[in-house]
Amino acid sequence: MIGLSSYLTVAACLFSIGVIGLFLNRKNVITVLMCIELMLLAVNINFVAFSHFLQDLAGQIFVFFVLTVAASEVAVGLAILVVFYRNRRSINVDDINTLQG
Amino acid sequence: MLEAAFFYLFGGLAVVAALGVVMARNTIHSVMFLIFCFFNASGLFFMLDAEFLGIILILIYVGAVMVMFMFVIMMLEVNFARLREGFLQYLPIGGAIAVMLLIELIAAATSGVFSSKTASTVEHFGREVNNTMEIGKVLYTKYLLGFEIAAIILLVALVGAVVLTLRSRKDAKYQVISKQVKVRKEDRLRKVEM
Amino acid sequence: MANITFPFPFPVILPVLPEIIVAVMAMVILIWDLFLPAERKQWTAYAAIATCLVAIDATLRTTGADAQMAFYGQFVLDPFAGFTKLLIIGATIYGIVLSLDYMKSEKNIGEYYSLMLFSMLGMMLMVSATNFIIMYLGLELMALCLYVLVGYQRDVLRSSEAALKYFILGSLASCMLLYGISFLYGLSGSLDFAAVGQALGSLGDNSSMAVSLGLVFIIAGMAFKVSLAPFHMWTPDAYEGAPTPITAFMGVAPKVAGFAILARVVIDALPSLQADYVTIFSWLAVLSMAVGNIAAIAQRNIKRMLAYSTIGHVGFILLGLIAGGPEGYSAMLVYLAVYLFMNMGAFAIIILMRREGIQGELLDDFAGMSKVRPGYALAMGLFMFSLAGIPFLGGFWAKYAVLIAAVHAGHLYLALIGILFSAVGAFYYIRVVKYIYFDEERVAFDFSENPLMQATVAVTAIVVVAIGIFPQPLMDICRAALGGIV
Repeated sequence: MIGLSSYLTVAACLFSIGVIGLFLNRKNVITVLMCIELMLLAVNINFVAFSHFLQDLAGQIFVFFVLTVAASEVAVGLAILVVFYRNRRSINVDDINTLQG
Repeated sequence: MLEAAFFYLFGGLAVVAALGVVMARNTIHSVMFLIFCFFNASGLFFMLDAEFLGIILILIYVGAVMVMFMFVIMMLEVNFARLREGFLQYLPIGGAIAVMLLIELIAAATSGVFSSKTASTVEHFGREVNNTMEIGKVLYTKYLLGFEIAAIILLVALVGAVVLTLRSRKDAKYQVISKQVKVRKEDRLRKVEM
Repeated sequence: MANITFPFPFPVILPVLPEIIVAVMAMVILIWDLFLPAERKQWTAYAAIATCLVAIDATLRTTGADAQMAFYGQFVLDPFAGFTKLLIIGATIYGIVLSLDYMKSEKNIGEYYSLMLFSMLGMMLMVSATNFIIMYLGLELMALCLYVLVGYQRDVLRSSEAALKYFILGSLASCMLLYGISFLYGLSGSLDFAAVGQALGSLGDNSSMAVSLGLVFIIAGMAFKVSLAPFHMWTPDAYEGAPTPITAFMGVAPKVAGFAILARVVIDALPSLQADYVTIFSWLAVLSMAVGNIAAIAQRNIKRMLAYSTIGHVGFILLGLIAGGPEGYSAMLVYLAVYLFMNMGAFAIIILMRREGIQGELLDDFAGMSKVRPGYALAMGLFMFSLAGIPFLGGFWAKYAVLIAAVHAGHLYLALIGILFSAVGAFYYIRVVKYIYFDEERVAFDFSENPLMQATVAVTAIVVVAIGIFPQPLMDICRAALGGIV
């Protein structure tokens, strides 16, 4: 039977894959942003699963807001990335080194 | 039985697609995998009686957010092959952290109350329950404050993105209508004595 | 078509009045800016200051001794929220005044001030939240504005670089926070702090794994936002790269909001986990004090130095949360209030000092300042001594309050570690004073002559000295401000 733990396990897998992706693709900011999206998706699956099994709508409302905020975050994040690219001609996070020390 | 089959289909494909996002050589492929992952997650949402969010996920995420990703990738001329240098360099530490996290999260997810009998025997709603209407009822009443803040957040994202990226180019030519209308014959024509 | 009946009455909105004023005015400024000719764009700054003053007035008028709920109990205005809101608005006014000269040559000033107001709005909503949804939305409203403001100088590489780093780590922190919240929701079936607290208290032992995971994730997410070590990596970079007024602003206001909401969460939602969170907080506090005070010694850039100093100070502020009880929480508020003035004053002097349009940011730039500008030098000396916790200035009483609270709560060893690192920290603050008073001038600086900014420095310095001589009124106010939560 498909219970709550099964859904939580899928979410846990997505979250961990997002974390490993952050490490593997740390030079490529666009992929880093996508990994963050994966982690947010994991959170959303958690909330929707809890919402279903608790028979409570609050979790779905929270997901609605998380989706809204995530979309705004992507917009601002990509804008910052574009500005950075214009200054640097690269999106390599490793190139981010004027601020070391 | 059918439900279990669909769960394993959607859940399995979502995880495979997520791996694709992380491992793909080409960033465009990553975006495609992410879109596929969202479709499968949307399937999971449908199985959890969250039809509205399932549709929103496809419309907003696949329809708008992922297109924005595509757009930025196409706009920036990035040598993605170079960005993959040292791809596996952080695999040991990243992998170790992720595996530890995975074990912890799954242990928590399958522990105690979450795997108890009550948590696995919830009936699905019948056809008479309209998920969208239920969400609408509380979204504009009980969660009105959150809704308003979300609206302001969208405004801020809009303003922020424009402020950061809009640049008026010095060589761009603008048409000033009022000047064109106000222009008189004497301004443009000059009699030349031959 | 089913008949839809709304089971809810029209929400109570009076306690939200300050927020409504700020939201409306931020949008008005956004539009008004379009119609202002280029030479009058500065008016938006004065409008923003006026908005803040009106918001202070509205907050004072609406805050009563009792907690007032609004929006179906998701928003509360109690003395605690009222007091922290005043601190946040005060920090924003400082941020705007410091921007007057600094941003004069930038484009899009109207959007700049309106984003600052929106960021302030997010923090004000955050400190009044009694529900994880409102808390998250307030937090994100604040953070999104700050990401943009940090990267505001878009032609400056280090500004956009700082924004990018801040953005990536900030969104990562939000993910962790959300994952933690989702577990608490699953365990308790509610998103209201009070209901979560009740449900967690009645849980059996068989869910301890999920509870502690949720707790750890929430604390990690919040620790990122208030830059506690080991989640502080973004702080020095973001501080250095951001426009200096924004550095001053984000050094204080988000910290006030972050600690206020953290206090509310641990008091209302996690009371049954006190032993666990106190253990985690203790490690974070010790690490922060160590990292902040030791790494600051090696810095040559004063913005970076103050970034590490912030990390050290948030470690001290956390001691108040660890101590808990009326004494601990009021000590936390005292520290936040005093820190607001010390930090803003120091940044005001940094901004006032400029050489042909270039900001003086290196420690060397301060050499011999006492000969050129004895007044500023005296003020900077006061701020540095106060940050170091030298008696009898404001900073001393702030440190005294949290350390005494920690000792009374039985955390003697933490207090001792605090004293130790405060002594280490005194070294680099006093080094700045040495540069100012005992070194020869190396580079000639001219100072900005904006009267509003000079007034800021004077007021800040007087407040720091006044609190140092008469600490009791502030302590009484902070104690009274706890009415709503303890």
